[in-house]
Amino acid sequence: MSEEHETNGRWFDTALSRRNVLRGGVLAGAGLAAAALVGCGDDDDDEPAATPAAATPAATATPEPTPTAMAADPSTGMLAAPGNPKRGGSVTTSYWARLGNFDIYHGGHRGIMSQAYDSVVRLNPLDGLKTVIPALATGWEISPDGLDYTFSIRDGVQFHDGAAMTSEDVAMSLRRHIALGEFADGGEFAPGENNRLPSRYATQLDYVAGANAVDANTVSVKLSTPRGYFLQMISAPQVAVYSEQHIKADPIDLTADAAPGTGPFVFQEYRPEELTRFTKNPNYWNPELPYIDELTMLHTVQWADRANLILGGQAHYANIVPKDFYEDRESFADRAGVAQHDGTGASLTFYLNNVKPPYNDERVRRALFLAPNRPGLIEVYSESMSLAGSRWVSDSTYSATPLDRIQQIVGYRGEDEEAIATAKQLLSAAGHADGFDGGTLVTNTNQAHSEILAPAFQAELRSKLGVSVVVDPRDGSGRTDQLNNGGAEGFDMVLTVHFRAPVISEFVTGWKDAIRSGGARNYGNYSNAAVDELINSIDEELDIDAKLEQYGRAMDMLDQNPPFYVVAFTKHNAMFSNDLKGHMEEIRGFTEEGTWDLFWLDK
Amino acid sequence: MSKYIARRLLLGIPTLFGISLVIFASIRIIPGDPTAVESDVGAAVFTEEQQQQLREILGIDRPLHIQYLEWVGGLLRGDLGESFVASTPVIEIVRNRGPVSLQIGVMAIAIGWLMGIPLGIYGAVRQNSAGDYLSRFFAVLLLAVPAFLMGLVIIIVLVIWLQWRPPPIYQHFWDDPVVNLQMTLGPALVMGVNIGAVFARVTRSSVLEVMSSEFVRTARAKGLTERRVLTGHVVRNSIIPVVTISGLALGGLIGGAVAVERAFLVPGLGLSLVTGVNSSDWPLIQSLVFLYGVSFIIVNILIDISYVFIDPRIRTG
Repeated sequence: MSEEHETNGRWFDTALSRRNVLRGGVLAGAGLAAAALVGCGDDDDDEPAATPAAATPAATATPEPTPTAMAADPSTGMLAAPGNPKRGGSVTTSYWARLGNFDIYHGGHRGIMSQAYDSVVRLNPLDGLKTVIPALATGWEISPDGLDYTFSIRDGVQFHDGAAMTSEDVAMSLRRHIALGEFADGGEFAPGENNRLPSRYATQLDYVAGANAVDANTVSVKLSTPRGYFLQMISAPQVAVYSEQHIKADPIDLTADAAPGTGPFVFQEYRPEELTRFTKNPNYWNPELPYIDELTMLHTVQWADRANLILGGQAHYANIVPKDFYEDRESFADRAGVAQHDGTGASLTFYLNNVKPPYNDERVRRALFLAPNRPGLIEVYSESMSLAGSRWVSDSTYSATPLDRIQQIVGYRGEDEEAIATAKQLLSAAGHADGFDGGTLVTNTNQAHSEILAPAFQAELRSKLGVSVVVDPRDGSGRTDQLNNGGAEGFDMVLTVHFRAPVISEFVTGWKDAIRSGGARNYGNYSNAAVDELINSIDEELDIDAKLEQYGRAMDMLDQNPPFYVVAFTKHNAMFSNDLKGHMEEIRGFTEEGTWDLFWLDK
Repeated sequence: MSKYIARRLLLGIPTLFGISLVIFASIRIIPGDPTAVESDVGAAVFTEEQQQQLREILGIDRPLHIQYLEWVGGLLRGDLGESFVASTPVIEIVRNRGPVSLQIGVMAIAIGWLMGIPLGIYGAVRQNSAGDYLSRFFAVLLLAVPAFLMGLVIIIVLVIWLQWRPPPIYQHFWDDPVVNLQMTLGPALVMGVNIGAVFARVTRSSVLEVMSSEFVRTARAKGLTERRVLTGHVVRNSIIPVVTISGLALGGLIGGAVAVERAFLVPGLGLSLVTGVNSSDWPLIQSLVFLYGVSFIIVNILIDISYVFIDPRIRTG
């Protein structure tokens, strides 16, 4: 592995080529310094499929959780919370998401659905979400060419209505999720006929050629091209397994009612825009879990409200609270704690319209890339939310460039006279020696965006390049509407968080959406054949060293011909009452929006 | 009386028609495409093809007049449509959240009356006294401070000093009166004192006006006590402006005081409407606004009817 990547580590698909390619690492947590991570360890064919990562911190150590002696065996999917978990009680969480509907295929929010539904695999919460471990599958085999996945399906799993889960339930759920258009009744998926909403996940899995039940305990999935991150893509909470019976009853639309799942919790009550309530599944396939009797997920939009609910004793957990609470955590340490980690891999990005003058000129985009003081922008915004500076990928992925290396690269160095001079030369060559009218900078009405970051960027452009933009705050759909209007007469610039990756550890999944020509989130219509070629190559590459080399080349190209301006990647601060255990926030790598089956109350 | 009511209801129809046209047109003019909104921030978005598919499914690709007629037809059948985002019938949202806003609204009006009317009468009777100046001072102060700000301060004080916060999960009064009142008393109080300040000012000026009337002078000349003059003649004749304002205030409160609901995390209709606007949830927006129009008309008819009982000189014929 190249030296510049050795201090970055996240996991890679642990089942890739049937070996455990572990990238141990200590993840950012509350009060911890960013630790140097394990470098490119040698592949070890003899390692078990999933083992908690060994942390090798450069600074303060994060104590590894000690699984209970009784039940924890991540390699079999049998998890248990560390310590001596107590049973019973009711936990209330304060969560930004709302359920929407009961069909994950149609946008039923996965963070809520994942309490009641499982997938074949999941990310291991006991190691901070570093490795993929079994769930409804007990194990899997991958062909040497990476095209065939064979899952062994767990015996004795029941749906909430008591029906036994079979391999056909799994296969059909996967097919439906992938939207292959093949259902048990032989019907084709027919848009416009008796359906409601198209799948939001179809484009993420367009390389999957089929999913079939081979026998009672085996499901075979075939890919048209290999993907090293496939298991992460189908891990909970991305996928929900429904019963074949319910899918056959209505292949298209399961939005209206909660179909039985196999998860640790059972739907009890849903109040739109307000809450979703679950009770414990007494017949969960992992007899150790869950510990709590009831889970209520409140839909709380404002971040500060979530924290206040915890401080007021009305909630136990919130996965995103304002940074202020993280910084003031000592003042209420007798009641609650706050931890910091990666968010959902989202970034703060100024999208540019690549087909509209003057942003259609590569030199102009490069100038806008060079001149602004990126660390300064991060510092300004960090008053309201924690950010992590990085370079085209989330900072904690294995492909991220180390921060000290980034800070040497022109365009990332902060106040840089050389970079500004180069930017001015580029603008001059493009015919804008005195700057230009940059049009409108659309942002949402979130105060941190519209009143802090957007004006800061505006000031940078004006003062350094003579580029003037007008900040235009718009509510939710108004801003999204602008993003979808990326033609020659469309938007000029939009500040958004849409540049993100479905699989954070494999950020090419985000590049496919936002940078590759024709990508669903390539709102600015960026088109660069060389970058496209590299993205496709990285996406299919299985050798990690080759991937890293290609990531590096792609980042160099993107620096020279950027599609947009990435400020930084967001960090989240999760808050929890002191009596809530099993949340693993101190070691959690990112905001997973996954199952909270390890929660327990220490009272 | 029944003719009067029938006439008022019939007159309400063109008003409602106008409201429906305005709201239908407005939400289609303002920026925002429902299909462009992601409900799941972390997942993939719709492609252009899928968005078109979605428009067909949601029926928003059809001609505007067809959409309007379908919506109005649904309203006449009691079908308020289905929320794009919540995938829930709007009527269900109204059923869940309407009682919350209604209860808080009624409580707020009651608190406003209990506070504002006595204060206003006192100020008028003791005009230019120290007590009058003090009551006017507080009335202006309460008018100047936004209700939501008061609410936020109360919440922060409760959380930080008392480590207590109203329960976040709504319970109907008949299910759990204690939790219900814990949740609704705060917003009702905050809005009640705000409205009460208005009532106090209006009552004071109305009472002063009535007290200077000839019939009041006659009453005093007949030897009635001041108390009897006040209760028997002045109050009843000065209450109509207060009743009028109460009707207007209640109509607005039923729609939900958004900022106060936000401060107290109360799941009322106001927050629903804001969420709907943010998400371009057209069925939710247009049906809720239409319902507000209906509630305003009904409340004002009730107010007009009440005039007849308050002041017999007013006839409905």
